[in-house]
Amino acid sequence: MNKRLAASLSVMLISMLILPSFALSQDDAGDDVVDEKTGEEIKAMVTSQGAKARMLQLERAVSRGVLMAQAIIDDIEETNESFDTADLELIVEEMELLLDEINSSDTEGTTDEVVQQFVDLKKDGIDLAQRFREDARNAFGAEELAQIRNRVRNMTHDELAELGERIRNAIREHNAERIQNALRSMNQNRQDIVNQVRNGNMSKEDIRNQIGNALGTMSREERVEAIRNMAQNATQLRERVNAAIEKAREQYQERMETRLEQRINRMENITSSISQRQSYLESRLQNITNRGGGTA
Amino acid sequence: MNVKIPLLAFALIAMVIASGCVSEVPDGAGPGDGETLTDAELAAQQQEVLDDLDSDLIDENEEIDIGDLI
Repeated sequence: MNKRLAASLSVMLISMLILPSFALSQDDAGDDVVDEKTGEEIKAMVTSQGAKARMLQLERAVSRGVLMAQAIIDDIEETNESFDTADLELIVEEMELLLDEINSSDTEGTTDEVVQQFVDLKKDGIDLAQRFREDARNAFGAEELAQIRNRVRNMTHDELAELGERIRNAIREHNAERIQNALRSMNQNRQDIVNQVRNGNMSKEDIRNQIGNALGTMSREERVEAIRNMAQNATQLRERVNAAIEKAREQYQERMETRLEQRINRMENITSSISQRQSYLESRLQNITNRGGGTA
Repeated sequence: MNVKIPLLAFALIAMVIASGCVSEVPDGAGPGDGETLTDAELAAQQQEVLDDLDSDLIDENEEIDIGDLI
């Protein structure tokens, strides 16, 4: 009996020691504002066109999120009249404020600045999508969720077509710039390759093959020199990107608080502007009613 | 006692061979020095710079994902 009691106490003690540290490590992993995918995306932000492309891609992701969220709310209102969608609508409103911030972001700043903006705004987008998802999943059963998902899944967003065109152009400009730099490191003047990339006639794989072929036509000495230059450039870029990522990780919490305060202020401005408009319309209605017995 | 003599001789020969090999490598030579690179090493370095270049480029079909909403 005593042995069983001792064993139980040991298990409890071990649980008390292990569980908080497990929870902490999970939080730490979840709290990394620059996950692996984001880190990969940031690599292209060393050119202003690359930064622009990434910010436009983020704008598209959040715009799609807003449209999708509105469609989900509409669907819920139609099919579950008793469900209060107020919380979901608040999340969509914050997503719209986030969209304004992405629209007004500056992609011409230093690598550190643009990376920090991107990291902050993307993390906010991820957090808002997660909150919306959790609220919806808490409110509905698996079957209902599957039905809603099926109804909104194949929505097409024509509004995003123009954004897609701007993203494509920025990507092509960025890729052309990177290829131009690579060819310069190789002492090669191959404007034909740069133009083809700029016109969107080459996939990433084609570009790789073309650069590989260009290296293959060089003498051994030239090739060694070209590879060495390219490796040096890659190292410098990697260091720049890593430094920017580290900076973006610093003081993330403080920046997030500042952004939320700014959003609260903007929300207050919107609310006061709405109540002003409401008062204006009410006084107009009152005037019209007083003048003509309710007819305009 | 008899076993030690061939062992010492073998160690001496090994040291002479090793020192001869080292002296053939030019001063300051490293993995990045083209004169000491084999074809296989050069090909590996080429793959590496092409991989780096590849990761700097953006695929036109790539999307940023903020996660599912439902």
